[in-house]
Amino acid sequence: VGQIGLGLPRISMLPGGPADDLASLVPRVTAGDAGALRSLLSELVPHLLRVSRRVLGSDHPFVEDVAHDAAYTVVGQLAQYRGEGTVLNFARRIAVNTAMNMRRRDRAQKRARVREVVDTDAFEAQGLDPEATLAQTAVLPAVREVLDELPEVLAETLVLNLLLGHTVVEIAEIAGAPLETVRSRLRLAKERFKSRAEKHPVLRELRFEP
Amino acid sequence: MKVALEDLSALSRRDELSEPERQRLDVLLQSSADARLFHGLGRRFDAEDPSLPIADAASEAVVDALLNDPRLLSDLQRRGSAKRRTLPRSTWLIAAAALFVASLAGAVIGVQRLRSERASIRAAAALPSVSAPAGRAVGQAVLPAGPVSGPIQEHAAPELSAEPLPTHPTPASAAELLSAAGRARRIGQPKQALELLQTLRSHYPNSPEASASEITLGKLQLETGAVAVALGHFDAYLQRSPSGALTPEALWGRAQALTQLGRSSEAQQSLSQLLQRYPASPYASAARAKLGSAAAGRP
Repeated sequence: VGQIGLGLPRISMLPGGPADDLASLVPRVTAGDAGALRSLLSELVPHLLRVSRRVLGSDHPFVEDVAHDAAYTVVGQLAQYRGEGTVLNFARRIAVNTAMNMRRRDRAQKRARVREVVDTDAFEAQGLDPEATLAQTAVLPAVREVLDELPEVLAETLVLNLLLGHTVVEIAEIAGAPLETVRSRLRLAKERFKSRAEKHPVLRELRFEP
Repeated sequence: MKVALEDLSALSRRDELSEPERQRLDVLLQSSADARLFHGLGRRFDAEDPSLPIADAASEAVVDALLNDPRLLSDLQRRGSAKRRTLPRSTWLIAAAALFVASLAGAVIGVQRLRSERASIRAAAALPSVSAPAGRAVGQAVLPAGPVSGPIQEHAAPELSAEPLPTHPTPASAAELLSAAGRARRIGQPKQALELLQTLRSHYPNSPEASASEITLGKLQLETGAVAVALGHFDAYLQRSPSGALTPEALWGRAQALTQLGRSSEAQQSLSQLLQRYPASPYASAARAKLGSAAAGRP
């Protein structure tokens, strides 16, 4: 437990990270304070929506539903929150898992996804190269497909790093794992991802010039 | 502290690298195909969904749905009361004594809470590298209290307190500044929100958050009646990000501002554009209703 500012207690934070303003709301929310619940949700839901959009793709029909379910789970699990990380990171992990579970259910049930219809005539009318644009639109869904094939713990680490742009220290706090463990998971996840990507019809064509 | 190689890409995506760190990243990208692959993919995710964790119409809809779900609060209250029932009698006696003591110190605690709420917003803006007037850090600026009326002076220097307040130990990121500004706006502290947005725009001018700040600024100015200034911000966003994640918000805000300025035909054009380009946006039904009532009101 650290101290910041006017000597206010600080529940937990990343090394060098911001104070956790939301931690003070937790006891009030768990005691049933509706105002505190509104404040907490207003802060958390935009972050949960962002996680949901990145993991599912912003055109996925259940982006808002996943953010809703994640927020519901966060509130339900606040009683178990022990202040080992920030409330926001506690919520982020729940959102990542909720969204990844939705993707796994999608795969298992082979549920038809609503995808944006790519109108190649429209691209031509705008002077764009339809094939190049089509390849662009196919890359990120392909990355998500490969992530679905990774073991859960590796997929979670790579989602946090690649899709959400978190650093190793941040991932360690979100996942509640030691730094070296996260480094090793990230290295392994990238290796596994790469070996699958090399066999993927869309991803194997990817070239990033230096 | 030296940034680890594996974090250079993540920090670069947030526009948080210093010049030497940027050079290290360039060297890494030149020499490693893997680094190029993952950095390039990360950039694509950022480009696909540049939406920021700010309170937009979609998040407000989710929050409303949750708050209107009777199960959520009743579950919480049931859990809270169950927890209270399990406490031993001695705990209640101690709690009663503590409450008595706490009531004597109530005024002091009230003052401290007020200061802490202000400090939490101020903390997000504290960037140690910033030089503030009179040699003080930005984190020492006093947070102006209470609602304001009329346009906000966007270039006014922050007031300074007589009593120095501690600064935040680390720089705030662009996302934290934008989030804190949004919070300040929602709790009725528009001047604070403006200071935070100015800090964001000066420290991270090329970040997506700086672009998104045009929307927050537009909303702030609309709320204080500075409609023409608000219109300028919405137009600036549209010029900067014509197909950005917040374009529906910009078109909606633009229509609101134009309506208030009496330029109804331009407002309708903005609404039509919103409907045409974003028929599934959360603003679509409201835009349709406004266009419908405008058509019905025509002679």
